[in-house]
Amino acid sequence: MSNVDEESTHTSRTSGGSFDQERKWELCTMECINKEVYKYVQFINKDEDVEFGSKLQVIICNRIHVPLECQQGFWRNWGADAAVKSLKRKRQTLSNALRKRFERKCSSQLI
Amino acid sequence: MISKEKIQPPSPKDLGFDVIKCYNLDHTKEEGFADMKALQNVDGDGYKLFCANFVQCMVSDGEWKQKSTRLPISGWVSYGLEAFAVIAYVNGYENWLHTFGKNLVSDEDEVSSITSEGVSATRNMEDKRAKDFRFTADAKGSTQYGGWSSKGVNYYNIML
Repeated sequence: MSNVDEESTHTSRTSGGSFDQERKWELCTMECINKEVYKYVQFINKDEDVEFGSKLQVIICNRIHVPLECQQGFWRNWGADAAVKSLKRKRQTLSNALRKRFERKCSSQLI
Repeated sequence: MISKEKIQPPSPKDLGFDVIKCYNLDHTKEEGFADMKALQNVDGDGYKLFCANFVQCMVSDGEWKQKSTRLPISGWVSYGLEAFAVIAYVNGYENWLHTFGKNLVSDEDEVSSITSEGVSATRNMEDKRAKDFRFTADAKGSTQYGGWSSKGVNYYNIML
């Protein structure tokens, strides 16, 4: 899907953030989850935990410097999905790291 | 050549993870479920071995090098992350042991498993069962680790 098409599917955007700007914030959200937030949040149990106004939203938006007036639109269009996907991916990464470590511990390492 | 770092990975029971209670997830913490504090205070070296060898996977290498020699793990790894490490380990333990733990099985066990067809058949059944992940395999629409069952997430929540 081209950027133009994608943009047209997000007609509900109410913020002042441009499409490109929101995509940049989306990447920042992913990085923020990947590097910091995963240490404190591993699962999102309820939809409320990731809605606009939730602690997670406030922390991430402030951390990546999304202006207050743009937060709602950004979060509804991109942020919430990005947060859920990033956490899921991070869980996979951590589980894979555990598996590799398990394998290494089971087999003798020759040096 | 020197063989190093080969260990017997601790079983969930060694960590203090009670498998039977784990399947009764209607229980609340007050009814005796193990939380992180309880796990940390389990007798024996199982949990220490787990922390020393597996919690490292949860943080960056730089952070581990910087902090692990100076501070206790509980001082700088969050409860949530520690709990996730436990639950992810318990989730994959049987599968990984089945896949990678063959080096840990003694030669005598290998011989006995092929001397009798009955033993061999039993072994095959056990092997098949052992491939299952405890909390991710049966979750609807799950990928290998992405989709956690509600049991797994509940247990994680109770540990905190």
